[in-house]
Amino acid sequence: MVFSSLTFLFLFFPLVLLVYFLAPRKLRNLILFVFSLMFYAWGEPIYVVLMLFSTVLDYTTGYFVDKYRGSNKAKWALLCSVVVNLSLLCVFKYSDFIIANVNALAGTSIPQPNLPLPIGISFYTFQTMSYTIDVYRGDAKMQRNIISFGAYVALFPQLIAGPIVRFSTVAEQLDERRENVDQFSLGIRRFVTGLGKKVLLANNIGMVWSHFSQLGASDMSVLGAWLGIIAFAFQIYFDFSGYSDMAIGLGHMFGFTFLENFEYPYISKSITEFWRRWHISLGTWFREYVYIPLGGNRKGLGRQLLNIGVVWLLTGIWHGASWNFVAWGAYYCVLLVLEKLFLLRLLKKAPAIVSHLYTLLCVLFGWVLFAFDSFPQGFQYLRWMFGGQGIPFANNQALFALTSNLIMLGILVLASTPLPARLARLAEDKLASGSAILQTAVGNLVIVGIFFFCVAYLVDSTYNPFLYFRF
Amino acid sequence: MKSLPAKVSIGIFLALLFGLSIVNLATPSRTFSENENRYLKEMPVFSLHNLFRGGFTSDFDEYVIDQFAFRDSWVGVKTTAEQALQKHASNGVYFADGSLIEMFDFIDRDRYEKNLGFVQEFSRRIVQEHNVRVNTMLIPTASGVLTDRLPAFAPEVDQRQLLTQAAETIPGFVDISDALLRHNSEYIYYKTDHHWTSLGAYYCYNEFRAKQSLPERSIEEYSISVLSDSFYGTTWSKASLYSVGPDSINAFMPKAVSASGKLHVDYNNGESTADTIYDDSYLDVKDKYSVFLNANQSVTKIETGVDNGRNLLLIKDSYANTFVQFLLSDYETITVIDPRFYRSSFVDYVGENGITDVLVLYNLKGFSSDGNVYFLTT
Repeated sequence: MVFSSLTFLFLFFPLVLLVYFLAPRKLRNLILFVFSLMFYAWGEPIYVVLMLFSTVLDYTTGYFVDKYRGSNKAKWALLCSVVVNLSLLCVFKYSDFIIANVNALAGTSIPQPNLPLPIGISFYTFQTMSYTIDVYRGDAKMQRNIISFGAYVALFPQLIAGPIVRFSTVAEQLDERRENVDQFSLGIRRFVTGLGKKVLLANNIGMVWSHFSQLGASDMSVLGAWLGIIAFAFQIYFDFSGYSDMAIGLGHMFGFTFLENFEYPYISKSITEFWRRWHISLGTWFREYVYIPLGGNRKGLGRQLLNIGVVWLLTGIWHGASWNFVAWGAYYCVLLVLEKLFLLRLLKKAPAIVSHLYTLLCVLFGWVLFAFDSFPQGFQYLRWMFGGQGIPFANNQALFALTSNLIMLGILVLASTPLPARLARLAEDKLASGSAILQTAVGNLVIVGIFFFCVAYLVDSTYNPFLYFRF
Repeated sequence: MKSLPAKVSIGIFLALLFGLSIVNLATPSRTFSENENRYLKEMPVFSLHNLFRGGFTSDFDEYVIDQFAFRDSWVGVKTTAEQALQKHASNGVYFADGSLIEMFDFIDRDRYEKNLGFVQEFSRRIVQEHNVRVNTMLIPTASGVLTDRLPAFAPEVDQRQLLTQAAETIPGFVDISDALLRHNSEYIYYKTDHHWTSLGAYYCYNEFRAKQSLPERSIEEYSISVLSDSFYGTTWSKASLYSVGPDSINAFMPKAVSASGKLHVDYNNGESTADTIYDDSYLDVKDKYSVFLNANQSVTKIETGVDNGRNLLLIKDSYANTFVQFLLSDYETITVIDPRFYRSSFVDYVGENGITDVLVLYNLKGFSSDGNVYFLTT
């Protein structure tokens, strides 16, 4: 199930709220667990077994890690968790990719299993692994109650598209959280904001991208190519960060506090900064569980560069089982290494506009790599961006899309910056000093308005794909 | 007291959430949406097999969307929002100056050229085998005629060029684009529907006469009556803009034919009969355009009461339903066949039924994507 569906909003969501808050506190994790399984099973009735397996596995390995702390047995349990989780990921996400490449290299013709990708597997395997690792390192206490642990793994707010919640972040909240009115109201705001980002912004601008990504050379123009990839950049950001907002908001309603996943990535002045602001929970995961254990920056520059390389190839392939994602990871690896070596110093000295422009251009070219599974298509699109194949600078297709989306593009640019949040705070302070009633009224009007239009767009939706289903 | 505003916010949100949920549960399911002219998804049957293999959950999601309370009004809210954002189109419909015009921004050239080829072959064979002349008319859609009302940079296919190509390929082709363009400030297309009006058909009819070297018929020869003035058509269903519409539907009945009182219409070989080509029962439902010739039937035979020995075979789509009224005064019988629902030889039909004239009439957009034109050559 996805949050931006009417089934979720007007059936699942009210039901889970009702049952959860009517139930006594000690049953609440069980309720979350059961509803989360239903939420997951809605899209994947069979694969729910896989998630349960992963849950039981890490509950068990966590138990042994704790029981045999300090001995070799704890190490074996840890190894078991990592190996089995990564194997699950390999089999269900990468088997076609691996076999296709083996076939191509060795000239064999091993049939591809064509397994459908279990939704969210990239997210929950990383979460269950983080549990065993956190317990092993002593960063978190072992969770004795398998229901509470199950609730952590399957927790529907972040189950499908993150953020990747590390066990140590929520270990205490699982048993000792206190839902309260202020947090709940904060959660509503956050959830509706995220819903608006997804339904009103991402879906709408996504249509521009899907239009231009399908055009042939005869209908393409330089302006159209740029407009298309800019639309994709906005779509993927508002889709993904909207989903994170919804997850964080729902978490608040049920008394959880997840860490932030996006901090206005498109205002960055370097790629290094961009990756500190984009999909933060994934970056943190790779830093905590790969980069630092490999030695991080403590073993000399050469080793550090190697570690960066490993992390970025993994980050790339994590995003999808295809070579273009590997290339996308490698692309960022090169940029980050260059920045570390000398570019960052230059960027700091350069005027802000130059470093902004540099960052945005690098990110846009990155999205071209990301968006096309096939290299020839991606390269053809890049050539179009520079007028290759004799395409015109502009044509009706591009000008119509531009004029038709001018206001939308303005909204998207604004919404990519902290400005709206700052304005909201400013208005709130101004109103608060005047009249509390007015303040409450305006705040609620905005939320109700966004929600109202989201419902209208969802009822009319023939177009409601979720980009992050591939991960 | 500090959390009072928070309580208010929660109250409002939960009231909205639970209120809409309850209204939805309480609203009975509709089987058919007149506005969208389609059957709505109904509650899927639950079974384990359905759950694991049969796509129960995705059917259920569609069911919830289709049966959402006040569905049509929500679509209207969305369209209004799109217009407020200064978008120039929504759901494939332009917000044109005062009307909702269907976009024609993509054409499958392959299919179009194949279809031209089928009509070309059909025309040749009819002439060769039966010595009967075939005329063909492809009617441009509103976006190719009302060009001055379209938003700037509308990414339209060049309908004029497509018609020129058709004229070069098909013998007996009547290019009516100039006739329509000359009158493009008049009410020749509906504002809320993808069809043309009777007035638009009238101008093209005279062009068709000119092609046969017949004199123009004056508008005085028709008794014009309003069939409906509350028509909201297909483009309005896709983009419900409250400031546009409704349309009125006019009948143009040749005075001479109605005076004779001998008009007889037979649908699908005796399935039903009538003494008029207008079926008033459609005026009470959403799909009012179907008032012409009882929607799209497979075979419609019209005896006009005219005594001139000319028998017309009209092969067509829904655009022709408006056109037939003008043909009534020119032929003794008119047989209307819609290839989408007819599976016998057209060539043989001409020979076996004493057909003296053949007219193929489609709208250009429909023709360029129709997969049934092939059957003309069978």
